[in-house]
Amino acid sequence: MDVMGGIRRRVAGACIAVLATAAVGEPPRYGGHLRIAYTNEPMSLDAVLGRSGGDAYYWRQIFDQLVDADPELTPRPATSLATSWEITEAPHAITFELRRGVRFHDGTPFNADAVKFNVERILDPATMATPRASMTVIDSVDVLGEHRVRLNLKRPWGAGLNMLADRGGVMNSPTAVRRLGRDYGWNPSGTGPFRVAGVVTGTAVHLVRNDDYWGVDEAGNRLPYLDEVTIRVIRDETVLVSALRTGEIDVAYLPYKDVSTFRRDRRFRIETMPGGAIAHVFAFNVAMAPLDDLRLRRAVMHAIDPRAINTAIYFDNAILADSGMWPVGAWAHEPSAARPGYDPERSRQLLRDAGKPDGFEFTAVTNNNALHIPAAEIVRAMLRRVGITMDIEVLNAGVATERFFHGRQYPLYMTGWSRYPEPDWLASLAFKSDGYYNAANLPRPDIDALVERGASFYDLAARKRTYLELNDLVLREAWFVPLIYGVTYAAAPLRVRNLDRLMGWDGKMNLREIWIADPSASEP
Amino acid sequence: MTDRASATTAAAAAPVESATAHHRPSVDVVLKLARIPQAVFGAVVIVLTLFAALFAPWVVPVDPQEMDFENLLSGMTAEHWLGTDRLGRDTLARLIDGAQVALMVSVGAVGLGVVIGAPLGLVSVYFRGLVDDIVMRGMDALVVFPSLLIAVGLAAAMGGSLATVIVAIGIANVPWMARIVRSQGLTIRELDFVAAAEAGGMSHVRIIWKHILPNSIAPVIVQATLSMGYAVLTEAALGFIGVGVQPPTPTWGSMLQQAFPMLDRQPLLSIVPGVAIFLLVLAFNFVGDALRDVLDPRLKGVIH
Amino acid sequence: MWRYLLRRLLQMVPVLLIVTFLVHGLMHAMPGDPARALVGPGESLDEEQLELIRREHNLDRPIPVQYAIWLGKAVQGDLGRSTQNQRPVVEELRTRAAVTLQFGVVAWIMAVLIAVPAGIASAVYRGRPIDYVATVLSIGGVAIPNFWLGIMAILLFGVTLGWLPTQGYVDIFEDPLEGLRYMILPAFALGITSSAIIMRQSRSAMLEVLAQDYVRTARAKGMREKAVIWRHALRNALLPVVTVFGLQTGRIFAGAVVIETLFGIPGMGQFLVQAIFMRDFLAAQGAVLLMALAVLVANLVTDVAYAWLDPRIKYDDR
Repeated sequence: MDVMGGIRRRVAGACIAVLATAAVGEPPRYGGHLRIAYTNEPMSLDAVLGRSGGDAYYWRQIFDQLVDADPELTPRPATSLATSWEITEAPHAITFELRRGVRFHDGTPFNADAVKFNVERILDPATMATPRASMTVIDSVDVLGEHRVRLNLKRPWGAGLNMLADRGGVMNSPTAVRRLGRDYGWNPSGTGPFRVAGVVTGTAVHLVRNDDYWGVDEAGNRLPYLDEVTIRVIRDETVLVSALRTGEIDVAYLPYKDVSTFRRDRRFRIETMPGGAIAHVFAFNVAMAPLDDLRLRRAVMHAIDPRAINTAIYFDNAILADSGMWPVGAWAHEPSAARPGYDPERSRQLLRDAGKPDGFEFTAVTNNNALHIPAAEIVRAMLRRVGITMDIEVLNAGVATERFFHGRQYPLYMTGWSRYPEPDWLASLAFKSDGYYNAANLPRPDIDALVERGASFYDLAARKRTYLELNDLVLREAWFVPLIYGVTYAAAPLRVRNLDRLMGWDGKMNLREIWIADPSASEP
Repeated sequence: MTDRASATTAAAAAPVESATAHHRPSVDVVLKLARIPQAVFGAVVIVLTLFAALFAPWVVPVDPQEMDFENLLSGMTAEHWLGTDRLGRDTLARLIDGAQVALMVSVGAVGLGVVIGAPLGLVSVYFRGLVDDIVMRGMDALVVFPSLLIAVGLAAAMGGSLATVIVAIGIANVPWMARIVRSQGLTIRELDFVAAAEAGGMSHVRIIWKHILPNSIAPVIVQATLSMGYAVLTEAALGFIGVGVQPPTPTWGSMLQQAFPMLDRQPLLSIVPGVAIFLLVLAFNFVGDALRDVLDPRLKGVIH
Repeated sequence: MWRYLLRRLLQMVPVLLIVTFLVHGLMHAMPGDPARALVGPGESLDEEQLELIRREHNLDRPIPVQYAIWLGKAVQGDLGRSTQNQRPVVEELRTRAAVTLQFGVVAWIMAVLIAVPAGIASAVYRGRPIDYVATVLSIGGVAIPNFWLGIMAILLFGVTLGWLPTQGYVDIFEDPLEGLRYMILPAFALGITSSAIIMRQSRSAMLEVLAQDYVRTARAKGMREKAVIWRHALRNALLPVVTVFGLQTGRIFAGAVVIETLFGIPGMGQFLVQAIFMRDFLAAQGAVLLMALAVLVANLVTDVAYAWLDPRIKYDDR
């Protein structure tokens, strides 16, 4: 596998952290109540029907995936519901050997029938499953035995195992889904380390230990360590941070503005994930005037100095983007020279070339939040320096997304993007001619061919070459151009252990190996 | 029926004996107002705000859009009297730019409320019966929506802009104006001179114009002044939840929205616009109260 | 009396119809495909799925027909499902309304507890320092943006002193003490305007009452000052409280929209704003229906209580 240097450093760092913990010789302690806060409430606890990226903070604790992956998105059988798999090419299929003795929270067994049920549920258009588009390559599911199941594919599925590490691979209890119907979303039954004990709408989700959980740590200890978990919704980041500081909560992701003060505070440990998101990206509608002219799109990009945004908005705690939509830490990431960087002279030249030496006007849309609004204002000020006038329209993210990608009302959308290390996800949805996140939907057979090629074989090195080609193309055409890659910062007081195991490949919380040094102290 | 407006304006609905004394009252009113200290304070604040808004570039010779990246989130300094925001923009300059928006919204919205509401009230009171019922049920329906929600809904439908905010707050003002004019008119209608005019063959329009309208002017002016203060508050709330006038045009509400995440780093940013809102609303309330005392002391029961 | 009540209740029906129809129209007027809005945000719906949604929600029929269908179901207590969390709107409204109700009641009680004694005291001690303080507070309270007061409260009690929680909500019936601790800042911010108005009204009502004949008679008969105030005056001074109650119910809802957002309280206001923002049609319609109903009922209660307290007012049976 082709692993880049940055990742290797990160892996090494993680190893040292593990060794450091191990060196103390401290055996993990069981029990305790971990209190977490997060800024978004879940749209559903059912991973398949939830539509917000933030849902994973909740459902990761409740479910296991058919295929789990390590932080570098390499499939990891030890934490997966499938213990092994075999990929065949003629006909295209993946056959899974399933873990034995696993039960759902409602007591029903996890088996091949359950896999078939879950996959078919996602594929059924009436389910309105969120991961459906990335799964339609599956033609049918065959149960080959109690613990053996085969996904029959329409074509090779290079992204398959990675896609199954996300929502699409989550296994729900068929009995519970059938019994509860549309109410299942708030009474989910998975195989994961925690069961749902209670939900207070808009306030908190309360989880308790699944005593039946199959997972074990490296030393063979049963998981999870914690007895209880409460995930509170605290929408305001200032309050979230002060709750962490006063010990009202035990774990939180830090807003950028507070990273430096926590770094100086010796009572807290901080874990970082560079490239945990694409913090700021310009998405263009390449068919909409005036930005249907590539020269003008590039003129816009060259006029912007991302350093000012990183300083004023992210307090220099984020990373300047050096490539496209596969951020630092993703296996397909590689710095790209095709990225239009800050160069105001070049910008003015392009304006002259395009016959608009005095600039032009357009309206951009951005999200209604404390990071994107001021960033848009900086962008506006920088564009004004080269003579471009940009009006800003602020909308809630959901509405902005729809109006930009479907309403086709704006030539530019300044937004953020979740971390999706599997390149096919974005390539299919955003770059393919008929993709949901392709605002222009221009017919581009060359790009479609690249997207299809990237997903059509299993060799990672070859896939990466394809995606880099695609990446350069998209950047050169100034179509999706990230300015800032995000960094995810998780902080916890020292008594919270194994913090280095908190963030999975998507940077979201996973509590199966977290433990507390003084579990009795957290009981009220 | 005793709907809300007529219950609370019961006192106001008493016959206006000075029905014929409405000519040339303006000088008299101003003189009386000048003797009320609150009114003078209010008037001074409003005039100063107006002055600052109209002559913004001369009052503060700093571009409110200029970003001083050397001075992010600064406190009060000689260079930036009221500090800077997270983009290094001068708070005082933005505050004055925001005053323009606050004044435009308050005047525009209340004006719209009067222009639509008053005729509806007049028509309703004059024709009574079915017309009255239809109009007033419509007004009831509008009153049920808090103006803030009308604005959020309209902004979502029409997109945020100054016009949206004015229309939304204006719509919220309509039922109140209609009700005031109606309850005022209800009593006047019963008076002899209206009956006499009707008997004398005067047209509907002329009766409304000559007799009912002039008597409604005083309470409408009072209500309008008080509503302007409320419009400033509503606009601020809209800005704070992020609908309405679009950036980079600063509004006092959106300044508070952007300041809030920085509350623990630079509280000054959150304090200044709030004080500005408070002072302007206070000024409108003072002037409104004083006008009420001067124009018609019996109007004391009206609350909006 | 009963005829009056019945007529008032019947008058609510057209108002509710107008309100919900307006909301229905407004939500449909928003740009974008309503079918997508009905599933909520999220990628990857294909035409086949959108068609399924259109059929399920009758989106292919004219808007008035859709409204009629919604109304038919609403009468039976089915308001559909919210796209924000896929729960039945009725269920969601029940929990959210309970939160806002608790919160509104606490705000209201705090407002009255501050305002009525202050108003009475400032009337009784007219012209003394206490009167000036109360007057300044009552003038300031109307002019202060309640959400800004909330921000300042967060700054002082949350950020600086750390005495009180500033985000979230604890059910008062589950843990009264903790519930109140969470409630106190937002309730104060929400109640301030009402409090100021009541204070002012109680003061002037009380002044009027104190000047009236029967109070003077009672005094002349040698009743002790306090007894006079309590026996005669208080009842009359409560009238404005009742009046303001009706007027302020709508205000409290409007205030709750911002205050709930600011303090992260999962109530109706927050829910409705999110619903409008996210084009969550069914949730918005349901929430507006409930809010409108609450405001109308509050008005009715006000008018009835007013007439009951003040024998001078008769039901006008026009």
